[in-house]
Amino acid sequence: MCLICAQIYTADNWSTDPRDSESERTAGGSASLHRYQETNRRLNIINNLISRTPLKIESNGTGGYVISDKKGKNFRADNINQLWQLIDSKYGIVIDVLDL
Amino acid sequence: MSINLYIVTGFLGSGKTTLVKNIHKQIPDHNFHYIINEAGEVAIDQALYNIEKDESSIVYGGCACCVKKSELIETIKEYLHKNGNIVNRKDTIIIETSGLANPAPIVFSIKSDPYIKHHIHVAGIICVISSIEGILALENYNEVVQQVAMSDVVILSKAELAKKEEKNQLKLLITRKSPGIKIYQAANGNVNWQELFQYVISDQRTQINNNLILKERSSGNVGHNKTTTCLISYEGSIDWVAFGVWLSALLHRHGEYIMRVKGTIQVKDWQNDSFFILINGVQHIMYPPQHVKYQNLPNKSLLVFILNGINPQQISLSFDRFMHKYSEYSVRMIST
Repeated sequence: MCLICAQIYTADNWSTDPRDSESERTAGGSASLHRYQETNRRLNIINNLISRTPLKIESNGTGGYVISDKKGKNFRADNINQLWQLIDSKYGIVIDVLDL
Repeated sequence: MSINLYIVTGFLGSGKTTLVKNIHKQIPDHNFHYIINEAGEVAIDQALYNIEKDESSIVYGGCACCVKKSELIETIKEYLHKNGNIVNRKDTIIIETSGLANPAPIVFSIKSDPYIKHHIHVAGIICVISSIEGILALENYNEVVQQVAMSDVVILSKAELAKKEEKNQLKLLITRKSPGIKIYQAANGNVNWQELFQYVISDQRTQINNNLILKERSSGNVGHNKTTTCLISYEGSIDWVAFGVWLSALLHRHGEYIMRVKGTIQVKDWQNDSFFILINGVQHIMYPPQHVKYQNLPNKSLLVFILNGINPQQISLSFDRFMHKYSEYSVRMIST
């Protein structure tokens, strides 16, 4: 929380959700369900991209990710940018979408 | 409540100081704070500004994009501390970079600082180019190409001194480097700043002029310095989830070679209604996507990448393959 304006910091990322109207941010209902489905689809795409590596990505339940390998080494990423950074820096794995 | 911050960049002698001085004269209630970056050991510009000391700060002895990055961050923090009471805050900060600065690392420093990023909104980058020496500078200095590519608007300074043909040639060169960019002209340092600031924060700043791009595409490679443009145009809504994964992975791996990404893309919301959003990014950094509020958009999406050292075909092929593999909807690419 910021000491000056008491704003609570969030780890929102540009890629998470481009829809910013209040009604769509209301908890529960179709919008929430849709967001949950999108999170799962995002995880499926990412896991598919890294399927040739020993890594697995799961949701941490609050919009972030948990990366783990087969030896049990795991890290938490707040957003997708941090996810790519950690995969790169902690496991030495570089995902290049130009090589698809 | 965050403070809008504009970065005024431009090559050595392009006329940045004259133009920024003009903001100070033109905006009546002086609700701006100026941060001036000078590469030299002696700060001359502050004296040239004739601005009260409490309205300006100076970072000198090196570029704020590299050696003086931490000093710039400290200066902004100091300003925020001094003006802790939100009511008394000046509502805009202007950073005038040194002539050799690359604006991207400055934006990155601001957006990655855990304290500053919640108080400062990088509203836009404004590039100043001299109408007289602009062509020469663009053809010979990579710094100028980077400054143009990363900016939201370009101001042609010293417009009163150049011939119409020279200015048209310069405009053509600028739009080749940064397709669709808005160009203002400043004679004797005069620009309508209120209008310009309004344009930069509006949702039109990444609006792409499709006709202009199609006209320019025939030129292929956009010139010297390995700068190329990749244009992706397609019909139908794009799958935002797949797009987000693709672009974030691309920027992580190749962000340093992607000078700019901008465009208007059509997506679907949770009720399956289509709408347009604006994409705007500089190197590794993406600005938050904006909803398009204006109505007169063509019924297609367009993405523009300004690249330095990557083959544009690799980008369009990768996009195409990724979308075919992971997108929920079928996307028909019109051209690349």
